[in-house]
Amino acid sequence: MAKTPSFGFTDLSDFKPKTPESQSDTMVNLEEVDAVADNLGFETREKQITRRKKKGVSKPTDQFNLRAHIEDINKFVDYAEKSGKSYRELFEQLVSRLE
Amino acid sequence: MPVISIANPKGGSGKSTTSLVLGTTLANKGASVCLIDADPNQPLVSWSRGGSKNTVEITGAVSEDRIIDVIDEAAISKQFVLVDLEGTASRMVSRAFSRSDLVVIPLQASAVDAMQAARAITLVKEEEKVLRRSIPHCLLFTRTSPQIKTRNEKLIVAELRENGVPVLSTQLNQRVAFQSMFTYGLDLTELDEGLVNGVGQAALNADALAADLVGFLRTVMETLNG
Repeated sequence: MAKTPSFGFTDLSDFKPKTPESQSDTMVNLEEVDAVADNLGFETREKQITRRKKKGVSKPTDQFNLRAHIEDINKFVDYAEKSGKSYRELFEQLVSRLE
Repeated sequence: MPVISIANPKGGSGKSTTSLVLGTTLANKGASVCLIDADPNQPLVSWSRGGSKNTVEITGAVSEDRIIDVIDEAAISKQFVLVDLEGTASRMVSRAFSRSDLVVIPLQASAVDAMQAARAITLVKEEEKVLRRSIPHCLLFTRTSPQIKTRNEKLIVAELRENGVPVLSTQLNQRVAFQSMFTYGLDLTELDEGLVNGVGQAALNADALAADLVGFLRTVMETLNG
């Protein structure tokens, strides 16, 4: 039967935990490290998203269809997207100007 | 002393298996070991629920913001800290590299794995410039056949040699026992040889790999200490 091989594990005591002092000697500038990563496509996967509380509806609602110029529809949709408003909120804002 | 990151932006290159095999083997040799599971799928945390008596400590649920603190905290209490990184190019990887004494890049003998391994090496090289220190690194072939060297493997090894990229001489072979560690939540010494084939051969492979890693680390330490 073959002899059990030895792999040199007799003593691992030369590997010691680090000390806080040795760690502070090698502190990194995180901005520089992140900049290197970004340049090479190693980007964050934990993007910060600000959550907005959705406004509830306090009055009765209904719906109606509207045929309009494509140009106007696009303008309306773009504005809603940029301002972060819902169509209902934007429509309400426009109607309030009629008063 | 050593913080060892296990990384390859390519998924399925054998990072978690390598981490678990090395971590549990070193722990069984008497070393204090922490395995940081920085993979969102948390494979090592899942493994730890299997009831293994292995002394390796598993730390999971790590965010990009916390990874450096988690590494530093583990490194002051353990002899070996291994960081199992996710199989994607992310800031978690770059931040872990910045606190590492060694980066091990596992790869299968395929062109896709080799190309992504090269990406990891490029990140190491660029980080070395801003950190103004060397980050020792080496490649590790995984899921290889114990008997046959494929043409792909020979080609990749030849190119690595040509470019002076260090490669661990021991490979992590394709063995059912390594996968079974995750299935049963146990280390190699705890697996039932009646249920799992080739546990003995897998344990020899694990011992040889861990010894190879320890040897590489000692060389690195000698070089750094002049």
